[in-house]
Amino acid sequence: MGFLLESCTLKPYNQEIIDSCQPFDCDHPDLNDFFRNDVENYSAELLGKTYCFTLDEDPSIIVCAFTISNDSIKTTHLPNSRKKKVIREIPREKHMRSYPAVLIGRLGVHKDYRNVEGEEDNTGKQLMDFIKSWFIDGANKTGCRFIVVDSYNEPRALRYYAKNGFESLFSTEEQEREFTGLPDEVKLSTRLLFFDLIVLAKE
Amino acid sequence: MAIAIKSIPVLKDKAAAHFTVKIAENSAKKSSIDFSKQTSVASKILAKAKL
Repeated sequence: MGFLLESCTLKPYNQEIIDSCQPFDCDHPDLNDFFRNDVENYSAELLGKTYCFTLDEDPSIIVCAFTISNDSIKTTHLPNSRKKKVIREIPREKHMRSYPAVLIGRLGVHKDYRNVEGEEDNTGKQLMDFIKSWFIDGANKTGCRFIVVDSYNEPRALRYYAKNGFESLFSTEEQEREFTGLPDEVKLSTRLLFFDLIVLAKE
Repeated sequence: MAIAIKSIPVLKDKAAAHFTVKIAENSAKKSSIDFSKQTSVASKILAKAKL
């Protein structure tokens, strides 16, 4: 995590940053569009907060950025042992659980800073390690069990999250389409993936 | 406008059961990955941050 610590500074990503920095180019048109045009709307509606790392030697360069919001993973199902009994009874009893999570809506790394010479880990890995650490930090004011990401459904993005320990929330695209209410003929442009923070030991 | 950020739908039935199994497996592996180096670096990043 040397490069982000030693050569960059974490800042809120806002209109001032957009106006004062060079265009943030992640080599992905939709991601560039999001960080250029949509961040302020998400922030104004309190739907997402965006942060960035700028380069210390030239603060007009945005090295990476990410948008996060509070969310949760809710499950509702009938435990097997109760199924037969409950099926005969109305109303049906269901177990509902809610697990606190942080949702990474979008995350991008500048195309020129993905791999920095002399660094053991690439910048994307350093950024993800920082985000994971931030949410298991003792100073974090709320409980957070999972990081969920709405990843582009593209090989490079999916490979990045898999390398960082993320798993699909849904076992198939068909299942995700069903749960998100998308018709079969519509392309699934993003996939929901999760990482369970419980496996990390901070000390 | 870019693709909208998707929110997390409620998991039901098979999806919920699969997820519940996964988190039980993960709970059994609680604190199994030493992340102390990364958390130490993150603390320094936050101390340096202009938030």
